[in-house]
Amino acid sequence: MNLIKSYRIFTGKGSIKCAVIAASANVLANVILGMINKNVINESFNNFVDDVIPVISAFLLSFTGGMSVLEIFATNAPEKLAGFKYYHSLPNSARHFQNALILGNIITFIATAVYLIPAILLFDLAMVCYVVCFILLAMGFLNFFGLFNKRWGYVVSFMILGFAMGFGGSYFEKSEIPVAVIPFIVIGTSVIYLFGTLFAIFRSKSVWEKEREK
Amino acid sequence: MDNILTARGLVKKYPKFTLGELDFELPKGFATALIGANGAGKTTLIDTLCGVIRKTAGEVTYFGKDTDIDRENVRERIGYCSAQNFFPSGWRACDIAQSMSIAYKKFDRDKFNKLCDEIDVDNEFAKPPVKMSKQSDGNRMRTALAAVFARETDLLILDEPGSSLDPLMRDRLCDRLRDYLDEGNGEKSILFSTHNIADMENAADYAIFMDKGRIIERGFVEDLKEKYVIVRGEPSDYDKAKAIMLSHSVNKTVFEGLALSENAPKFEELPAVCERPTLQQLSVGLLKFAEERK
Repeated sequence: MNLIKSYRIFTGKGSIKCAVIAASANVLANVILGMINKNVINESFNNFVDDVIPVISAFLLSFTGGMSVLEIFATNAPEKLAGFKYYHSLPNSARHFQNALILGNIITFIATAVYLIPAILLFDLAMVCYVVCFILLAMGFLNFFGLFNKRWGYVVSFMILGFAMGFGGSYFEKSEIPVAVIPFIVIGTSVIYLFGTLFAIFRSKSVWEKEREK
Repeated sequence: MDNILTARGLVKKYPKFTLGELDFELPKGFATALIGANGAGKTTLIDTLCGVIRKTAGEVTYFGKDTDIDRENVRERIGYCSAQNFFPSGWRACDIAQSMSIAYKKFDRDKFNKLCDEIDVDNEFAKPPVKMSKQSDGNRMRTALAAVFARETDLLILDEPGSSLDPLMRDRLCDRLRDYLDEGNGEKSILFSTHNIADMENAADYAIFMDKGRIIERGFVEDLKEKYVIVRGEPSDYDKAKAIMLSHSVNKTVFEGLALSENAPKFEELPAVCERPTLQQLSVGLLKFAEERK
């Protein structure tokens, strides 16, 4: 079954286009600022680009990816909310729901990969690793808690991510983090991502069907 | 006679409400009106039949052979829409067209746009596009109806399609339902629910009356109109008449009630006038009878 078609069943027109525009804008901004940064020697500007731009990219990419999956999770709403009857009356709706979640994660993966190619060349490797780790952490939490579609889950996720953004950003600055630690952080956040994402994808059909039991 | 849908032992349980056990059939080639007061269980029944919510017990047979609503070919043949918030509130007509053209094999996008133009709501090319949340209840219902009529189906199941519509639009809807049956040549059927049958009386061939989760009467409308009579007479004869009537009311000038037509000769002695009921009068009389019988 076509993943893009399943995604569009749940999101209508324009949702993939928005994600592409957001990801492209992020890459463009990074390329332009990164290239200027390489050629201009100005301490304030260089510090801003080296330290702040990756944090903004981490936020933007995880926001793009997060919205790509949260939009799908939101369709598994209680019976009284708008759209429930439409979605649950569709043929093969549970399978489409699962496929849409998979594509939401693929969108995040592609957006991150497209960001990485110029970023590795233009920015400090530690900060690029920070961006990747933050996205993995964000998507892992959002996939896991998104399946439950409960307010408390989102509050917990955003609190942890807010802490990770602030603490991680300063910790990953070039003079702060031992290089040997970075691979463990990458592995750790990858495990969180894989657990959260696989849990969401494998449980999605049964969670979708459960709403019909109520 | 063939039945498009048969239900046996159908039950849906909620903590404070139980639908069923229901046993009924929908005759093929006809429009069935599901009539009942608010809270009778019409929406629960319709949602259960369409697979939006799972039944607790019982069996439903679709199109004479399929018992599994989750089969793709069953859902493809059923056109369903509900009165309240059917589509996501953030969607526009273009999102509806996009989604339904992918989800259903036989959704005609051009027909959807043409129907939207006919009934004066946004089609998918409307500029600027307006979200469902910003539209009136009536326009949301019209859009949902345009979407369901744009599909090629064999059974339409509509939950309170007339509730948000103005009288002119309700009249057009009745015509549209008639056209749907005529085009089907006896192979297409309709089930629609309503708590106000007056405006949609012309659309109904068969009626099922519900009260508190149970079916209290069903049959072809013409047969029901032969089975029951509306009785009117002088208030002075009310005490004698009410013993024979199923439901009744009285004021200073007249008493009125519903009775079985087999009892009509008894009313002639009073004297009282017996008339053929409209579907609206039948609905009120039967639902009152069910309520008073509790």
